[in-house]
Amino acid sequence: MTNLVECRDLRLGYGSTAITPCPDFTVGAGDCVSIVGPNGAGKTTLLKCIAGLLKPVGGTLALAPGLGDGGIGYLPQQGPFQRDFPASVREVVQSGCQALRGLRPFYSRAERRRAAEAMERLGVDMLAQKCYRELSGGQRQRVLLARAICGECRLLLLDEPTTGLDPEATSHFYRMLHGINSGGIAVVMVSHDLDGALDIATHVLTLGANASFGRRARK
Amino acid sequence: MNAKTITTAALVVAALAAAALLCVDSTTREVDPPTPHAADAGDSAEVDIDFTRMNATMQATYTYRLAANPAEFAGKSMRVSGKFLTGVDEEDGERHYGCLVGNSAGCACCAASLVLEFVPKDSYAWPTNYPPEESQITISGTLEMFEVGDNMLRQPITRVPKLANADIAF
Amino acid sequence: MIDQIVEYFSFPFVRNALVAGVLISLSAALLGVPLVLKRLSFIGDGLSHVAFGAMAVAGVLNFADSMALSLPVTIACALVLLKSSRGAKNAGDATLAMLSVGAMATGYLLMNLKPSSSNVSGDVCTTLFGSVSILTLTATDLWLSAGLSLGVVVCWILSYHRLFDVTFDEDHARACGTNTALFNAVWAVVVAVVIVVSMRLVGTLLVTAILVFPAVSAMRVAKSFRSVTIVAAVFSVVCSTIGILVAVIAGTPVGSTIVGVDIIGFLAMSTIGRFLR
Repeated sequence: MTNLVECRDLRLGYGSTAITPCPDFTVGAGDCVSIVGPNGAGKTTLLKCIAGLLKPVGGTLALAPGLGDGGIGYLPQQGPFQRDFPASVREVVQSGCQALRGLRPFYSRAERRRAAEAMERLGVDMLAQKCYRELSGGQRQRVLLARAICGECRLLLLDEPTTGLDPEATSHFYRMLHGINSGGIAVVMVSHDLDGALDIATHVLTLGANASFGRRARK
Repeated sequence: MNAKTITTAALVVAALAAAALLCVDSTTREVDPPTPHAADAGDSAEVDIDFTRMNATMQATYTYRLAANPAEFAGKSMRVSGKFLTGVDEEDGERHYGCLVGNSAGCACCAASLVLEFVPKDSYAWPTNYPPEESQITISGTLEMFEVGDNMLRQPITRVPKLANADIAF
Repeated sequence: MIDQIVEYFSFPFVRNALVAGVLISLSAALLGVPLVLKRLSFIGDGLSHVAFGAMAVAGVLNFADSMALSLPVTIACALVLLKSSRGAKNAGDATLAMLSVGAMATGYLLMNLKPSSSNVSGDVCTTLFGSVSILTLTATDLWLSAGLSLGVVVCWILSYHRLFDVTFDEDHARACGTNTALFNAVWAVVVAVVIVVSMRLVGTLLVTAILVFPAVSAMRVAKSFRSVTIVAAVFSVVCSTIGILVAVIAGTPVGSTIVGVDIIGFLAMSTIGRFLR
């Protein structure tokens, strides 16, 4: 299977939420898929299904072999408790390597180097010792992005990554994301910020009433 | 976490375990605890455990331990003070004497208390040289375990701690 | 003052109290940090009340050691309440309230209806407030408390990173392949153990204090998860040691004294934290 993700006849549901149909779509290496749609259309549910947190109610969702074992970087929506969490930036980014760490009690030197490289790539290495709760919104999202690409990441899943960010931080974030995408990591993101997201997207998946999936001509 | 942190953590855990082992060993062969603050010169004789000289926490601790495991104190001389209680046991027709040892360890409603029976010296004859009932007394004697049918509180215990050869001060 | 302390050290039960106290407060502080961060402090309180009820039942049934009943019962309740960090909030705080208060009332009622010792009120007081319970440990008690606490500390060290991962971002941890359901279950069991053992140190009503105070105080000054836990551990051990010594020398109830020292420590840390900003 050359594609990273292939979905056919997918139907999504979560708890008491109505079952939502989803158009067939594929995610290939290097693609950048933007999932759009009204609230309640199932965007976060779909993302969680790809991440392996939820099971689809019907249809097939196939991942490339080996992708599920640490090949997916996930940036979920952040709760209020995390914003107030006493952790250094380095600790947060390091936790991105937990899939590699497995049952071992401590991280290896190679894993710590990965975290350092991810921080450099996202430009947060000078914040390594800073406390996570003292960062600005934009800095936090970059730290979480560094965490997401820490492992052997081939696919990035982002759930509303620019919520609460000011316009400058938002555009800065999409610039970094585009850089990561160009480097070969596929991106699937849910975003309400249509301008910024569609700027860097290669494909658009629309859920809800006018469900569709198609390529998007990039500027 | 690097090797240094692991080693430090392991050392700390080992030190704590060692300390625990060292201290636990002493529980089984309990050394006579010295009375806190040596007794003054005067007419009060030295005893092994003197409740009258202890602070509230130590008193409560000793009262609790005495109530929970009196055999631990067998053979030790003690001085306690409290309310004097006496009554005739209907079953054996004998008069029993007791002292309500108690203190409130910080909480007025919950006092760790215990009725400690005592067997006075032969020189005491009821009711001549006895204090009035319910008055405050201090008794000193040696704790012994007595084999009886049951004690003043009607609990079916075969071995009862009593303060033998007791001197009563009131 | 030093002479007095040295003199009190000659008592074996004081030494035992210090050893047990150090280990118990260490394990409580380590578990308290994730508990506070997950906003689950109230569960510690509820579980300790359940443990009290179980202890009362054990006393009525003439168990030799009440932990034989209170540990499994508390563990069972912890598993139900802490299945997932989300589940705990959904459990309904009314349910927890009823469980906790119901256990307390039933426990006290049982203790009065069928007293296992002639002095019920003294037992209850030291159980609720830990006035002298840490000073009256039998050899079995000491081994059990110290052993369990040491076990908790070792488990904690081995699962430190996983604890951070799951506490900081449970969804992310699950996406990375961690079995968070299993982890939360194991963690719930450990929390229950720590709470039951901690009751010997500070009593049922004050258990929450040694779980929460070290964590919150540490968060005032520390900037990373590692330093928060180290500061919390040191804070807890120091305050408990001072608390026990002060209680023994000044004649105050042990549990409340330890909490009093915790309060002073917390105020000190808050002030230091303000200067550091």
